[in-house]
Amino acid sequence: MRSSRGSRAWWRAGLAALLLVGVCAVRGDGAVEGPAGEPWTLRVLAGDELADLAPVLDRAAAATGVTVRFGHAGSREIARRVVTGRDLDGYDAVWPASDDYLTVSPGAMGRLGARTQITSSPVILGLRTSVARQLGWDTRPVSWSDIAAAGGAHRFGFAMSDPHDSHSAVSALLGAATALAGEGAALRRDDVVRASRPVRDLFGAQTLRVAGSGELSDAFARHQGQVPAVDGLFDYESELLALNASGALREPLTLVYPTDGVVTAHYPLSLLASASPGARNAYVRLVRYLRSPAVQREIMAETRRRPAVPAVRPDAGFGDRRIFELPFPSTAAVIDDLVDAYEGTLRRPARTVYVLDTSGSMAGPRLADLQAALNVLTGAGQGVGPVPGSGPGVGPGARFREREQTTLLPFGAQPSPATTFDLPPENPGPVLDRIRAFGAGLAAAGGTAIYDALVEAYRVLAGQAAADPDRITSIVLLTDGENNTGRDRAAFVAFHGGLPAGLRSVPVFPVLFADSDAARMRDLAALTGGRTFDARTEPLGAVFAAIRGHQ
Amino acid sequence: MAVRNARPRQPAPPLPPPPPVAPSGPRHVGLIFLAVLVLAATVIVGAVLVSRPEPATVRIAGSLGMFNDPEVRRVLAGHGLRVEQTEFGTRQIAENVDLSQYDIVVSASTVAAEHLESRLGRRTARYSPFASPMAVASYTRIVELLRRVGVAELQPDGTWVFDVSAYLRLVAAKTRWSQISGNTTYPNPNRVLLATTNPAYSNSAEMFVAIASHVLNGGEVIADEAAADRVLPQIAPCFAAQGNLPVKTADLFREFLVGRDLGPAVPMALVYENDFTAGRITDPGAMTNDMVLLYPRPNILPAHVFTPLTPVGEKLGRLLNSDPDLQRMARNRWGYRTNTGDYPADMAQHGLTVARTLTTVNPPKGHLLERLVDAIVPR
Repeated sequence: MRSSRGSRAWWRAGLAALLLVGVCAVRGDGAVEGPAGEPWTLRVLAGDELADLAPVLDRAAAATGVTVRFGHAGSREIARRVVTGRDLDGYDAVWPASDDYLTVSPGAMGRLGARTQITSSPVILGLRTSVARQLGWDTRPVSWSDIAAAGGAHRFGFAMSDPHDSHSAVSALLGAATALAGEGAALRRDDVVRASRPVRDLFGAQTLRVAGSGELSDAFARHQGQVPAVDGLFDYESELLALNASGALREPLTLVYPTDGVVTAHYPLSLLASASPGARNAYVRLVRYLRSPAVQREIMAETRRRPAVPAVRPDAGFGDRRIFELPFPSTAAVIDDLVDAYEGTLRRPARTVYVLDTSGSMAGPRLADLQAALNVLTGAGQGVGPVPGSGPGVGPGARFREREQTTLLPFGAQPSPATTFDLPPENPGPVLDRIRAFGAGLAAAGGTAIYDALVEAYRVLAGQAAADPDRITSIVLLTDGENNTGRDRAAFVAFHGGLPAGLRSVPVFPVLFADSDAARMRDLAALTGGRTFDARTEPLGAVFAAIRGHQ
Repeated sequence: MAVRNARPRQPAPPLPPPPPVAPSGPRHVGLIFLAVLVLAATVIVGAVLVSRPEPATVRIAGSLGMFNDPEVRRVLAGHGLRVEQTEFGTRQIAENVDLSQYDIVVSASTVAAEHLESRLGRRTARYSPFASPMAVASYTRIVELLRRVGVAELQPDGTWVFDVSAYLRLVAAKTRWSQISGNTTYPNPNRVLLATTNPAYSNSAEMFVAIASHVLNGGEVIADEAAADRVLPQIAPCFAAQGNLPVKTADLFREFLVGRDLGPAVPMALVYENDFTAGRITDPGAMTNDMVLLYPRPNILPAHVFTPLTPVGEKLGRLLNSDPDLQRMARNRWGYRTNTGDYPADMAQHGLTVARTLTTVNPPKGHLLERLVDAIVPR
């Protein structure tokens, strides 16, 4: 009897074990979800500046099983891809600073699924505290008119990113243009023209231009003390707060919130309509996590963006200012007009010397590449939209613009005579044709005197700046090899150190091409406050177009 | 993947007899026997577990905060349903969402449901278990300014009316907040505008178009295209001056709440009454005591319409319409007006004063409303 009872106990134990096996089997099928849910990788095309969310997203992966794999682009570039449906393969969702560009574009909404705002940050002006104090802006409210008037009087210079790609730049442009149009309403196409004089005063004070939102604050820190001065920047409040906390500044920034209102980025995370059911499920889990109050507080503490759920209040670090919101226009054409007006008439125009290697090694396909790249900049064969053959992201913003001054300086064993092209305020076509013809006439021969050519570029710039100082100036250097004649690097460094401040601040953008000496080129970029661009992995035309964001 | 069609529960199989004990026999015989039994039991128990009914997932196209409510979900789970919703603007659903991915669609009005049916190309069952009138969410200090310009009016029952006719005159005059005499509390130099969603995508804004058209048509429903074209020039600026508009009412209300101490960023927003009442009841931390609810005069009472696309969607629609627990929760937790119950009395228990009677009008016929919306928001 004992043994019989014992075997019954065996039975119960066996059945209990089986029940466990059964439960596990069901779990393995996925019908029973654990707390974290099934692992899933959500592929998200996000604004450049959202890279700072990496730690939050790591924790999200641990908590929800949803790993976010980011690709990055400017928010306007993301919008272009959604509107055209191009270059979105491999993505489940997009996460731009703003999707206003999408909601105003007919058809774009059909490409999007669910959409959820995750965090927000207004675009405002950060100004060196000493300059803000001189203007009295540390104590009294400041309107967009005040800012425009001070800009027009050269009381400060500022940095901004390229409005072709960057939402922060469009927000600054829109804020100024909407407020200065004085309608108290959303900007219309007619208003773009009406706003132009004060807006031109303001944007004439821009002394540094950087392609993307993600690199603007670093560039600002790097250019402290440059001539002409970069005293402030239009950027997301989050970036300005981060700059103040970074220890990279010689003096803190005073945050200026214009009294007539600002444009705020709301960072909507939007599923693409093409996303699979698995991605949709992962999206719902991720969004629920990101909008939970605890995570909203983490995002606020770690990225200095404002919370997007009403139950979480902005912390004391944001201050308690009154902030009004300016409307975003209801049609894409208004934005296009405004950016076009900015490039063509409002901004401080660009001045660039292209120092172009035409030594013997450039003969053949390399020279052809260079000529094709110059064609991208002259808008050859270019309608509205991407330039054929130049890769993604080369928009109509790439071509040389009205009022711009472009100098082509070919060199071999010594610099050739520089040829300067001044684009007129209107009808630049004939000058663009001449630039193209000049490019077509280039021939390759001789050695490579890189530093002699650069010295010549500074000489040309000195003359140009004396005649007409208010320009955003840079040098682009294209070479396919090493310096093998003329001045050496040490002699150039000595020369550069002796330049007057205005010329010493001119950034050189070396293009890594074919057999160019990458280390030396990076060195040169660091010395001059520029940066290198790599044309070994991308078409030269796309690289020249990318540099345009800094000119 | 969730189980869509639950199989009926199977009767538990009888336990097999206990293994005979062989006190003198070799032990391994018993072990082999046990192993066989274990295998058999695995199959049986596994079958029992797999066939137990899983809640069926109902995929909802549309957004109702109610379905995220754990208590509502519990009641639904008791009926064997689990909901999964995807937020869209109503007109977005009617026009460009892939409906094969969903079991039921929530439209914010009958007009929107008709729009959806015309896309489906068939008439379907419809359920309207609850409704919520249009409302304006604002703040005490803003309402004081609105009162001065004749837009806000306190009623004897303690509720506020938002006079649409007076508002339309302010819009026509391009009045700015900073121009309201004696305004020291809200120095915003931008125009006095009621924030709305985009009428091309969202029902609440479409309802405002309907209300404004009624006011501008001398208190009559727009009955023909000529009348629509006549009122259009006075309605269009209400939207054009706002610029780009949110797609969903829930987003607009969230912007209203989030912007509360920014100016406020959104001084007044056109939402549904229950956005406001449900917010107070279920998420009181998101709202402050200076937030005020006003009722547009005239008003429209759009009912939420559930259009089932599949049998499981049909089941949800029927439950919402008839289940007493769900009806009570719709009212007392989610602020809807239902067919049963005393709504003002229930809301009073939450400290909310709501209108007992409203001056409501009918929207114009679908094609006329659409004509207005298409002219206001060119697409």
